[in-house]
Amino acid sequence: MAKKTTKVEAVSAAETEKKPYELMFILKDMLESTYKKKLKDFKEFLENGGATVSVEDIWGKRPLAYRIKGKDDGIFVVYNFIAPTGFVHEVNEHLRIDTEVIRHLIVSVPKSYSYTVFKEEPAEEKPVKKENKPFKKNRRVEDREEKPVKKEEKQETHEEKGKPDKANLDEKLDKLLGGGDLNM
Amino acid sequence: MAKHIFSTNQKHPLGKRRCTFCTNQIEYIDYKDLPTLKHFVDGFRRIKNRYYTGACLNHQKQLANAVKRARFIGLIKFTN
Repeated sequence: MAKKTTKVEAVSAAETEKKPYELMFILKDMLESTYKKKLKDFKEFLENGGATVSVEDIWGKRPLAYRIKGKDDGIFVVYNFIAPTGFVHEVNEHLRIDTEVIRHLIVSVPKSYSYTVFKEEPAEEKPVKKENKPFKKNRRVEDREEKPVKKEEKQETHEEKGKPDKANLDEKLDKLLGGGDLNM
Repeated sequence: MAKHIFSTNQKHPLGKRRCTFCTNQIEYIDYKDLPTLKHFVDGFRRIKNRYYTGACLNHQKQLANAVKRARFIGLIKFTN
């Protein structure tokens, strides 16, 4: 019996040993207020489990390199925390079950590690097309300028057509039917 | 991490090649460090061989690990 108790003690001691970890996960695209509330709850969950959160970095919305679970972009979040080793399994399970988390990654980090933000090199800017190109005078350009005027006219006519006067219609019908033009 | 120039060491003969990570005293290769990782990925997005990267065994292993992590979390493509 004595042996067993010593084993249990050893295991618990190993689980309570604290190590630095880095956690990154991707949330589904959602409103800023909703995901901030969610992250606040998650941070509380970490702290209740005995972890001390040193860094919380929200990258914001970012495109994914490839499609994951039918999503093309997500909200990237990074945490750095020191936690007992047993608790990390709990965190892993918590994120696995969560349906709003697309993917997550927990990595153990060396003790000398300090969080650094890497600046991505800006993508090569496409050559901007000149806005005011000297066009040759074409018929098409003239047509474009004239078109909206025509549309307005059309709209007016539509309005007229849309509201047919009942009195006029009746008169016309009377003329047609009772005018004697039609010899039945 | 400050900006370092990562050469493939191809200019030097085999015996005189040195690991760029060792010379810059980089202990931990981060998977979030995309600007440096892109130097060690092929045109087909494959991890470059140690012959081409010129990294020492320890750093080459770290490098491969970092690229795989970045791929998994959706920062880098697996293939084109």
